Amino acid sequence: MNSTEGKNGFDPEINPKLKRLGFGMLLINIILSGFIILYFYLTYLSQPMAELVVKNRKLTFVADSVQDDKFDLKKLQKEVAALRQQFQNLTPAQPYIVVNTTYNRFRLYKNRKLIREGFCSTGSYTLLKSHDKRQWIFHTPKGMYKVLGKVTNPVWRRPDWSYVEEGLPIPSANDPSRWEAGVLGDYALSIGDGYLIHGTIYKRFLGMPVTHGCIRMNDEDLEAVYKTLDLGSKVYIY
Amino acid sequence: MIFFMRKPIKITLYTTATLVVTLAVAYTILKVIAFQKAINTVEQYIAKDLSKRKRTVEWVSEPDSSLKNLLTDKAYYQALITASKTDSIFLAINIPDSTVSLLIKGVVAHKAKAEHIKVSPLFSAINPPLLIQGLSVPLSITKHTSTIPKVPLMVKIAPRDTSEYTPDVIPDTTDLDPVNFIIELKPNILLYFYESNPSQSSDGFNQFKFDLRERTWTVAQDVKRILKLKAPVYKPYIRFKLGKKDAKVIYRAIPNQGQVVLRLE
Repeated sequence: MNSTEGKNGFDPEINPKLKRLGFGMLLINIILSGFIILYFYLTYLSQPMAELVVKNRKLTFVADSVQDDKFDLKKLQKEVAALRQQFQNLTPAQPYIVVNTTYNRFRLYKNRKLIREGFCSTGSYTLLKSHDKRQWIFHTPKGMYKVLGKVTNPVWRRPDWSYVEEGLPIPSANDPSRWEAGVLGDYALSIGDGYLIHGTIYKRFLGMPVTHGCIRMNDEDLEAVYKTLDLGSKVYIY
Repeated sequence: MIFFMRKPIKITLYTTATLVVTLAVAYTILKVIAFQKAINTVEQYIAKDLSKRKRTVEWVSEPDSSLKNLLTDKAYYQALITASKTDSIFLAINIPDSTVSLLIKGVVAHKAKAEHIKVSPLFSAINPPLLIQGLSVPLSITKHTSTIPKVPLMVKIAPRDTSEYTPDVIPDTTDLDPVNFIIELKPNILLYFYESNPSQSSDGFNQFKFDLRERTWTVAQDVKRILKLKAPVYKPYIRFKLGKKDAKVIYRAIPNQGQVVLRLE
């Protein structure tokens, strides 16, 4: 052992310095712990504590008219029944379809009863930017739509983005190369603005968001949807 | 020496404890004041809205539960019908049923059962006739924050020619991101939607982080107000625990400026 070291192995000259350092650290620790406790009190406990204090507030009713004996309960019951009926009537008795774009599922209803459900594919939410500063967002619009048209053996007219996406030159608007048969399945239902419910050759992608905005289905589901929905039937997309 | 060291420790300990307790008590008192103020704010907002719509508040001095239920039913259906007149998707929250539904033009598109609901006691401190009337109209969304993007947009630059073209890869549909979100309604009502039973431990930690960040932000805003000699703000809230898929569907579907129909009793 070195002659300058104390019994505990530390230099007796350094020992008081270490003690002061440890002492300072202890004080800082106390202060820090206090503020951590305060922080957790403020974030987690202060609100429930305040709520506890005011929970038993005595209420004084505010009303334009207080009708102790005259309150027409029967009239109120009728009003509620009428409102309930009015609300229930908003759900169509005619067939309709509901499409979930987050999980790519559909549900088909007839007489307000679920008759079929399954997978579909909806918009991929891809923003395609071309080199000539044009851009397209491939998303399926949400809200209520109606079936505006129904066709069998639809033929796809390739839009500009389909060429841009593949790096192909864009042909003229009426170029015969734009027309492609067999890629949309056996049926197509139009819901407006160029959006269709149609079939697909990419069945492995059903249940995934891969389309350019249209709703794709497998052949059996598409046939059921085509045969169930009429022109004017409602399509609810969320 | 030991005696000398203990005294400053004691002083620090006592000072810190006094400071912490004083600040905690002061903040709690200010929060109580904020709570009382919030009741008045909500009641005034409803009263103002009612006079704008030329509606009156009917009530009896000692309502029985059946009358209260009827008035609540009436208000709920009135709000649902009003919201159904708009084109946008809206949210209907039914606390007694523990359900959160997405509706389009009155048609239930999606219904989710909440696994846990906690309602701010402020709602039971508001005058029942005013509260019922206040909820007879849909409430507007003013703000939202979440752990997932509202629109999962992917940017793709078109290839210059066919040699640059690469077919799309299969999208990753695994639900790895935790789903927690907060919707703020007029007048200052907060709806917290937290994923129930996080599937991974990281989801649970992310939820804690999201919640703590929100709470810290609230306290920071309060401290800012206190430093400006203003009372802190108490925002009435409803906290929900929903399944991950339901939470994601609801957050993605509800429009930024959407509406919420609320039934509390």
